[in-house]
Amino acid sequence: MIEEKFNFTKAYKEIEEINTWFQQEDINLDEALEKYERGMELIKNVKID
Amino acid sequence: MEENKDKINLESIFKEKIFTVSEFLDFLNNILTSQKFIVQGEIGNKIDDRLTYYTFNLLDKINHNVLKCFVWKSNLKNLNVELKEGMEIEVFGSPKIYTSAYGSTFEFEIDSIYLIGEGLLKEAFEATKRKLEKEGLFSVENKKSIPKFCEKIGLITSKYGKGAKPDFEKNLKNFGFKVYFYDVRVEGILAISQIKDAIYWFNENKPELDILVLIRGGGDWESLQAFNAEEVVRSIAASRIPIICGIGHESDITLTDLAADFRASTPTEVAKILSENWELVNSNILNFENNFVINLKRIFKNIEEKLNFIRKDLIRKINEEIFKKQKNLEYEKTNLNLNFQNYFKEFNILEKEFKQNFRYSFNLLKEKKEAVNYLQKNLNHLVLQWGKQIKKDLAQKEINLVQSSPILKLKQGYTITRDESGKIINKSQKLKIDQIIKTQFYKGQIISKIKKINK
Repeated sequence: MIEEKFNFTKAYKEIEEINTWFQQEDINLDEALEKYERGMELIKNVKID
Repeated sequence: MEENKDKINLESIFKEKIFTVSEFLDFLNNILTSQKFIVQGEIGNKIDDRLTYYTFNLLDKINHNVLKCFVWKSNLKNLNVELKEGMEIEVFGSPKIYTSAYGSTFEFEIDSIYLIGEGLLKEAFEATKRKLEKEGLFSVENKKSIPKFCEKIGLITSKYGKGAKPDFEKNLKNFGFKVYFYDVRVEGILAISQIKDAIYWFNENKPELDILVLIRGGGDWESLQAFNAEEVVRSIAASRIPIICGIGHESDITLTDLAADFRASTPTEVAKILSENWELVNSNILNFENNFVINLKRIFKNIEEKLNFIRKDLIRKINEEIFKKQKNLEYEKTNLNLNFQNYFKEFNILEKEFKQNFRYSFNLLKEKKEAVNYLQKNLNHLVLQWGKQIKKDLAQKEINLVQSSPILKLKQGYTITRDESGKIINKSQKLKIDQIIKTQFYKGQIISKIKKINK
């Protein structure tokens, strides 16, 4: 499998989307856990040293 | 090496070759037209306006020398002002010897004209602006969006400029930007084609770039004219890579500013704009991280509260349900009891009725039986009686019969008289004289003939 090249802008945009998603009232727990894990993974990748 | 070789060749040509006139003129033209020059001067009083080209004299106002110029009209389509006597211009092109049967003339063949003088430039600026505005080259809806995080930057500016490039590089923060530099002139007639080429080159060879940065330091209105050139504006509009411009001036706006996808006031500002989102990344990311944790905790808390509520609600509902069922059960029980009581009551009544009916029927049956017995007894008695009576009657009848028997009568002496046909004669009226009659006795008979009749 070819690993897709990491795209900072795309990752940051996805983090912003996840953050917005978390602001809504009715949230499914399974989905929330999935989003949380995805968000944390992206955050790990976009952190600038 | 190549240069030396050319020199040797030229020298040998000069020494050995004998040219015809045409060959010589062609030879000179080959040398002359391979060179490009910029010449500044004023347009003279006679502009020869032909269908496809102009010729005019370019004057040196100080030394009063004249350069004959030739320009195709197609080369001036982006000039947007009419050529007029007295116009101060820069011409870009090559010298050439024009050959004809009437003689050869030296002239300067123009590729492009660059206007000089504020009034003229303003006029050209307004005309170009109107033209390109109509085509929608400055409209907001046609602008490409600037990526939030630009990593690969194509920088278009002059490496000789005092401010622009160093200012940009100094203010671009260290976020690992990849900057591809394309050196261009940012002033004068050559700037137009070079800026145009730079934009084209990046689009063709580095299409993966996030942004093109077109910058130059401040200067007077005349020095910025390349940024008002129609060719530059069209290149910006045609670029697939978004373009941000930072032309170091504050008061006047160039057509490049209008056409660019984003306009910053200076090269420094461009660098700051490109850096600022990156500067916010770490704090934003930290906020996002905190938000995720807070939100997840909030979700868990909400779910816990909901579960508690559901648990309480469930217990309450179960109790309510049990209570309701109990009530229903009691009601059903009461109903059942009542029904049973009613059934028993009805059953008692029915039993009573049945007993009564049974007794009545029994008595009736008994009575009937007794009646039948009585009747049977009576009947027997009567039968006996009737039998005796009948016997008696029969005996009497027998006696009577015996007593009335003609045989007995015959025995007693009585006779029976019949006519010839055997019919008993009990009257004499129907008898005739001489009629034969038979008289029967108890024993035997006689046949007589009638002699006399006493009626």
